[in-house]
Amino acid sequence: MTKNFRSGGLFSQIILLLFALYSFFPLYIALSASLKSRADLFANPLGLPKELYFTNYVQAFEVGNLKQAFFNSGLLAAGAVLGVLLTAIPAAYALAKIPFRGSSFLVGYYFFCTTIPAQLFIIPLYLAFSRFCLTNSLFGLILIYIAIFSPFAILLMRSYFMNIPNELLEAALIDGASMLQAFWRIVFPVARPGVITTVVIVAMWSWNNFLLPLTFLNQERVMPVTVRLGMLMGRWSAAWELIMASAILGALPVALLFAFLHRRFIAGLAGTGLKG
Amino acid sequence: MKGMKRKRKTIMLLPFIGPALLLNIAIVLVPSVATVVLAFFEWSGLDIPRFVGIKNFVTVLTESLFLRAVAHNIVWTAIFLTVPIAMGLLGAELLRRTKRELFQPIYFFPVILPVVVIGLIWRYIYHPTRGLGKILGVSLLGQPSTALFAIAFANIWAWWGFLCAVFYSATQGIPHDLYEAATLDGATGWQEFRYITLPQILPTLTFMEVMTIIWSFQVFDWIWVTTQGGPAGATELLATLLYKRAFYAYKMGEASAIGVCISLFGLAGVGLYYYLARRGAEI
Repeated sequence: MTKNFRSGGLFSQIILLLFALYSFFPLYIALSASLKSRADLFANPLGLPKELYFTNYVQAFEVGNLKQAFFNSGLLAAGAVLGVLLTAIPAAYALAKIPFRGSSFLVGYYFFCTTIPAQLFIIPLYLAFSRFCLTNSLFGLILIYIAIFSPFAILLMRSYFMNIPNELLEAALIDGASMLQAFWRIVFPVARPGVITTVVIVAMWSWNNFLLPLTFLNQERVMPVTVRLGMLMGRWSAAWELIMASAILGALPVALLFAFLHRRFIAGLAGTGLKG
Repeated sequence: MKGMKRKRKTIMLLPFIGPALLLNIAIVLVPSVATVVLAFFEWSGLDIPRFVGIKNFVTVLTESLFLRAVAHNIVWTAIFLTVPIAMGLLGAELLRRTKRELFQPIYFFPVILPVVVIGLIWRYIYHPTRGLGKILGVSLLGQPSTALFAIAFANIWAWWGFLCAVFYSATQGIPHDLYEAATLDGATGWQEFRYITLPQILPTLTFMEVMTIIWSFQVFDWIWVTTQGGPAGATELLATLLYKRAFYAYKMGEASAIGVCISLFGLAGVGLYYYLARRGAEI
């Protein structure tokens, strides 16, 4: 057995498989619950559905009024992604390629920012936002998302920009290209993986965020999916098939994004990018 | 002349670093500093703030609710410093040996799901008359003795895959000949892990332990989407206490004092960790 264990044999693979089953099990429970009729679910809470009740999804979407929530979440994610790209790409570029006094301090500061809890600034920010009529505004929340997600984006993209050889940039500048032209023609294509990683992670964080919309958006017309899902329990306390269907719908956009781009997610969140 | 050049450089830099920095200062830095100031004032958010010195800190620090929340946060930190880290290390080491990388996205998938979705799924699983709860015959989220652990269990499910990926990515930087030499010397699997993998990824491990301490004192979503601090305050953490104090009780000063404490606990935890790690290294 020791031999098997050492050479990456059967024993190791069984443990890995058990880990996979463990990761999959709650998802199976949710998926099968979401596809059962109410009677079926009550009689048989853990087994496979007797017949597939896709109408749960239609009902969850309509009764739960998820359409507006999906629109709001989509707008928040799109706004945050766009805003983060517009502010973080130039900053990351400057911190990687333009030497200036205080640049390493700024890198340290942005790293520090990635560890600051929202609890540290949420109260004065809420009071200020309500004074400036930025609560219950998707635009206001997008501003917050840009501010709190851009430090991570700056550090991540900076690490990609730093890999671009200076000679390449200098050659372009000598050829008479402006800083901006050099950026678009040379830097951007090389840094594309970093940009894509930033896009998917910021989109995911915006879609998933709960505390900030819970605090800053309390009118139903502006609520995103996460906050609406948090309110479902009181509303449908017994209709677990509908709650599970809504939960799966709410996770679907990020799940699809992950299905296509899981490498970017894992590289961006668990790779060396996080550590700047 | 030199001053002018520097001025020009500053002007040239501004469009690059300015927008991100300005937004950060307005939304993160200034309000964070304001929280520290607000912690010394009494304010409902509507009337005029009144300076009260350290009264807010005295109030919250002598409150049994606060002390219980601190205890819960410490229990939470202890769980997350050990269980998911051990799972992540085991997963990463086995992935390294077997090269079965296809498992990685499976483990990572729960990490990217919205916490509220995972919360709903586990509430169904734990439900006393449904799901697994029906079979177990207990309400794991409903009784004070188990609720915090039940939430932590759900959180570990959606967290260990992240650590596994971090550690696995760190093992990819270990030179291959180290393992080859160990194999020639007839090292066991445990010895390979203990004497090669572990020391080689120690910086990453330390970094994740430190981040775990910081993150553990900020936990909010997991509690809010499952028990909101109940039953009977058994899952109240500092972040949920702060939220209720600010947005239910409208005591902005006391809530700010709790916010300052969350940051200080995070810092203290990191300091303690480094102190222990250094002492451990000396021994």
